Amino acid sequence: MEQNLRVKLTAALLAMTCAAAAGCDDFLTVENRNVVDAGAIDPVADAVSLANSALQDYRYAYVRYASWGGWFTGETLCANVNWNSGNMFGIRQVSPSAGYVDYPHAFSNPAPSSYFEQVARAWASSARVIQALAGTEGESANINLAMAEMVSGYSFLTMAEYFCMGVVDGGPALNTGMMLDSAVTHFTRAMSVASAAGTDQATQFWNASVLGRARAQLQAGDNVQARADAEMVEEGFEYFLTFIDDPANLGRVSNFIWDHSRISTISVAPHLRNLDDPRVVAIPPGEHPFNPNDGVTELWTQGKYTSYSSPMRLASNLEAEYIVAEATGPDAMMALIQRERTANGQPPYAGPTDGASVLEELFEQRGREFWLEARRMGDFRRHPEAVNYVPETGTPYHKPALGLIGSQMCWPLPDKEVLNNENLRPGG
Amino acid sequence: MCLRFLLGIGSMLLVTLAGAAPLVAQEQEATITGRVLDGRSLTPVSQVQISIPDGDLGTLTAANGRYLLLGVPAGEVTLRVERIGYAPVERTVTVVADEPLIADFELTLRPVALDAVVVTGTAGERPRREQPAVVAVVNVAEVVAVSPISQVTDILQSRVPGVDVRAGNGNPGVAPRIRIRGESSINLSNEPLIFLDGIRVDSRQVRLAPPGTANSSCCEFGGQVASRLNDIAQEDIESIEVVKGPAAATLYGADASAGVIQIITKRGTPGAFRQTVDLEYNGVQSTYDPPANWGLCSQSDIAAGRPICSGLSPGSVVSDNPLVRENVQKTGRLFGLGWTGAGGAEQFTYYLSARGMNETGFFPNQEYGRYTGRLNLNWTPTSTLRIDAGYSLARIDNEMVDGNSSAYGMTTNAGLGNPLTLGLANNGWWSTRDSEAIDALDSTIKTTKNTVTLGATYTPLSWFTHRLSLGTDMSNSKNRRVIPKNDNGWFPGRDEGVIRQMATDYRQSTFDYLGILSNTMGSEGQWANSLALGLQVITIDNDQLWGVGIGLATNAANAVSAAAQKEGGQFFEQERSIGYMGQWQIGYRDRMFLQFGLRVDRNSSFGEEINSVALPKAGFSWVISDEPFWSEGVSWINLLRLRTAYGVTGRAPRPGASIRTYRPSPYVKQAGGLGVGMVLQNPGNAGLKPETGSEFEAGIDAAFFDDVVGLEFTYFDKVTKDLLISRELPVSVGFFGDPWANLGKVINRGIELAVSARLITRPDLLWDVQIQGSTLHNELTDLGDLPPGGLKVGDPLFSYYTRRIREVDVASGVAILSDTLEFLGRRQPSHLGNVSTNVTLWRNLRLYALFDWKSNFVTPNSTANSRERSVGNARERVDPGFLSPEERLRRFGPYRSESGEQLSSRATNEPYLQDASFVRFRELSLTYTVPDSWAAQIGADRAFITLAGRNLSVWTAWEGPDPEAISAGTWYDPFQQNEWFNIPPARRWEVKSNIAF
Repeated sequence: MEQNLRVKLTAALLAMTCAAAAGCDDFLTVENRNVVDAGAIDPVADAVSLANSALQDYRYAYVRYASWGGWFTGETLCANVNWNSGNMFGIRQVSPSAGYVDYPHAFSNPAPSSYFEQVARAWASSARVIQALAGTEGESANINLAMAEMVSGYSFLTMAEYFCMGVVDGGPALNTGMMLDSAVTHFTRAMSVASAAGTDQATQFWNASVLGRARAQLQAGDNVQARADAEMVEEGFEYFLTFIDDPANLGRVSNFIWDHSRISTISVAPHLRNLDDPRVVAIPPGEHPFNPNDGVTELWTQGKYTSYSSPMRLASNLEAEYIVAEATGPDAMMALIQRERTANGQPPYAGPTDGASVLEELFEQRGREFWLEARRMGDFRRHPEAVNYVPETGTPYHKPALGLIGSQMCWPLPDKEVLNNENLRPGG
Repeated sequence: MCLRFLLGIGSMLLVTLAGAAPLVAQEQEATITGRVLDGRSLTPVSQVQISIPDGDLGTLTAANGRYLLLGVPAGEVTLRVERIGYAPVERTVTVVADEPLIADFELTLRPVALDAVVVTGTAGERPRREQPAVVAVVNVAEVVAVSPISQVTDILQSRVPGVDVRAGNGNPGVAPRIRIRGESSINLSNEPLIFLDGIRVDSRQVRLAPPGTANSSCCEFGGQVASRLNDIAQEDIESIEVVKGPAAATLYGADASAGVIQIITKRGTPGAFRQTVDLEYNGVQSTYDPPANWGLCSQSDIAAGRPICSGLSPGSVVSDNPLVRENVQKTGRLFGLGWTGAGGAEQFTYYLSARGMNETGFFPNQEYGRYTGRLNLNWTPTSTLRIDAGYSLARIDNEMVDGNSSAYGMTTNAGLGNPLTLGLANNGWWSTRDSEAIDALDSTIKTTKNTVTLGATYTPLSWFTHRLSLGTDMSNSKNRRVIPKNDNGWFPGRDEGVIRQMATDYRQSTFDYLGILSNTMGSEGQWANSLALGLQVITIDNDQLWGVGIGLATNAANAVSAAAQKEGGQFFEQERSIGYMGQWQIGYRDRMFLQFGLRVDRNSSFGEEINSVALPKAGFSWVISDEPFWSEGVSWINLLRLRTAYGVTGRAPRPGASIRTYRPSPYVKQAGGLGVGMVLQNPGNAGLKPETGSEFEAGIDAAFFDDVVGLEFTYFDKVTKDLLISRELPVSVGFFGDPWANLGKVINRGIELAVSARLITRPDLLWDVQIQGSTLHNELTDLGDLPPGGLKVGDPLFSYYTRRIREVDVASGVAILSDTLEFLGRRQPSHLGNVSTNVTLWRNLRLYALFDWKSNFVTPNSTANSRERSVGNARERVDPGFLSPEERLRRFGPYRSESGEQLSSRATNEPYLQDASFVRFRELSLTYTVPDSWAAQIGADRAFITLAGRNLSVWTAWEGPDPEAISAGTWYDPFQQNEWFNIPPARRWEVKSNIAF
């Protein structure tokens, strides 16, 4: 090969390489098809999607708290395998360092890894919608804003009912009163916007919000306001959290209690097994196809939710009546008790009629009415003396190898929050 | 576009150059013939130069070690025999006119081969003496010849100081864990990059089970993991070069800080067509001694008529061992058959191979089949151009049984069983999943792999060389998991049948160009300058598509579309990187070398604020024994090189890690049906950059007593900073994921030592010994502003912490624990070592043995923990007289802290965090070289027969099945150093033969 040709070839190769290298900026742009780039989202234009996603986050949270709170307050027994953190609820030793309580969904990435993430995310999702819609045209009657405010209110309420202390958006700790105050504020805003929106859906949000506000005020001890709000709930009103049986998204959109019934981690508590009460359906072993997940707990499976798509009641006029009765006094309570006992095939109440006993019976009826609907934790914290059959501190857990029942009344914030939140970090 | 453009340039250039180049043919004749063998292995040595220095005659040996030297003048001549890596030999012979003379030679490997060429970690092919940083070379052909090797990673086991290979478990084809100079990444892979003939290839660890929703894939989190590295047939490998750290890996860019392994495949050699056939058979024997399950018959058990309690009194201890009772473990087998053909002329050589192997394991559902073909071509059309091309095709069929904590695992379901259920529904197993049920599962991955490499070295001018490597590695896999429909209640909730299948299209492409300018300076040409400038482009595309079907009408109709419910999903990921590199080297009289280099990297995974990162390197190598003054002084040290190097390299973030994202996630419409929603996923980090490892190393290479003893010693000190850590956010901010951040610092420091010695060198007896060892000091020195968690500054990464047992008070019936969690042990061994020996008797019988050890590390024995504390079916828990009172208190409490607090029954894990140090009899073989006359009777040129064993015995105080087995981990940690029903690696007995024609 001629020397001249070689030099030319060398020069050409170097030139082409340099040209290619210089033109490689676009080359570094890649496709990320698995995720949605936040830069491509318009919080206003996409508000329908974002607000409904916030409500879905709350559904996701609420149905889990119904399950875990059921173990904690003795509605059910935890039949989870012993090494699963779910047992910590049943034994009333909720550990701040607990890992994967969301069995089995925790094993599908990504999934919440602690018992606080669910409600925290629901609040955060709603807060971003509220923030994005602030000051936008038609804000005061924006149905998406009403939905987000309602979700925000319920998120605060749930947080207040279950957690000893709360926190949002990496901020400082909130005590129960502060959380309930915030819930009232958001419910009030939701009612205002829903009222202005005026649609059927807005009416649903208004009723759910006023019921939520009544619930928050009752929990805060403000019986007067609680009764006043509860009395505003429309006759016959019911609002359900809806679920769906979609195999591809079971963890996200299905009824978690049914899912746990199917994998046999929920067994109806012994005191609820033979009530002959349509409000509490317990199916004995041999009459259902399931074996206990832990292999040892006698499995009485619940019959209230029978599929992945079974809805869960969030708010209703019936609950409003319970709130009115509790806020009013023993006579009102007794009237409601007798009505509900009769309606559900129970003989009339014939026990002691002192205030404490009547309250106890009211909670018995309320406990059956809202069984596995995530009310009992709030009841337990409001009137622990009146809520029976909560696993008793110091007694053996139904699986004795795991130790004795603890004394927790509410759940601590998880380490992941405390250690990473500069407002909460020890010494921080 | 960019890569395609570059590939196009490369290809066109090759074609142009090839077409323009005239073929040059040369032929020679001789009257001396003979064969050159390796003195230890007695295998033929090719490419040996046979010359008569005075007569200007010379030739090379062919692949069978034979040579032919023509035109040798009659009389006394001196034959000089030389090959890189071997000590040169000279012999004077008398040549008689017209009478052919036979002269055979046996060469001795030099313990330190400074003239051997390395291609990894340096700019172009350079003699090892010029490379200041350590690049370890494993002569694979020799290893495979004598050792029981069933996969590539076996080759690396205990052959390179500082390289820690842990066999995954006893499933054939399972991914091992490779660590070079310790772990430094917290949330990124610590596995090295793999290159094959200059291009980066797929080395992923791949889970067998396809994805699914929780409904369809629950509880398989233990699962199994296969390694794409094992797709390469070890018999096709000539050598493996291991680049241990940043000091040598700088030129591999911002993803190489965990080291680089370069696999170099065999090439043809000039000479006649030569074939080999190899056959192997393995007996695959379980080393798993399954623990029995124990129970106590209570009065109610007896009254309830539990069969195992029949006739016993209350309190009787009973036991059962499901795996033994059902005789589940069998002896597996491996059968392999391979063929190679090679040959060529001066300008053109070729290497062809075809081979297949099939292995069944000792448990049901364990099978591994690998069928490969390879074609390597080397063409030297002119004295200035060399073209190397390679193509390989591989098909791998792999089936594994679940183990390692899976709810569908054979060991899990056996080891968690309850003997009181013997004769009842569970029949002594944990659940209704007995061996027949687990046998009915199908979990496979089938992979087709195409790898194309093309390289060219073109020297148009005496001072200018172009080197080009390009190629693509494409893997297409099909993962499949079938839970059969059944009426036995085997798989509660899934008895209607579930099929999950995933198709993966994974490809990596490499374009690598280097232009090397070199000249000499000085009055005697004593200074040698070399400047290399280049560009490396790497692309990775991974596209996975899966489907799940739930509810099968029949097990035969098990396509996803035949199921009652279907779901699907896709994963798509791209990564692009460009590296610009330069290296300048100056050498003095071929004994002193100074080197500087710089690579600037850009990567699609960096945050948008990070345009590029610069990775410098520098090094110095001095063969001091070549200095004139040396021979006058220290004659017993016949070779001594001093070397030191510093380099920086990195580890790139995961694709997409830097951007702020939402995750598509549906919501339920109040009226029914699903809406398109999204949830907060990742806050992102625009400033995300690679974690960078900078390493200083220094060492010596020496040979003593005329090459009888060789020594390599290296001290290394690596600092990895800007660790890529998934930084936890407060839960309350509401993101699903945590953002990645560059935080913290880890140091890895240690020494590596390799000593080899020829103890006896006699005609009928050769005995050599190799000893290797390394230490590792690993320490997390900084964690930024992260809150304290599982990682603690000042301790090794991934250390284990628990409340320590201070005192066991048998009289009071209590164990006293520390008030807080304390350091108990480290995950990575601090000391590795091995000793191997070869004894060659009567020139045809070779005995080889390898022992290795790892010490000062802890592996959690979670199997014992679960069985004793959670399930309560271990004898230690059930039989009150089995453990001493003191040991019962240690394991089960009650516990109290030093400050008097009553603690839970699991307050300490100290009894189960056990020292896993071990010594293992890793390999033993006996190789017999069949006499040539016998081989000739079957028309063969040469034949070997080897009997070998692997994993023969282990000595350890660790209480689990095997201290080295690792658990295939969860989705968030692909490997866990945790014994939880792991299937221990098999013991193998092998017979193999290799016949050359």
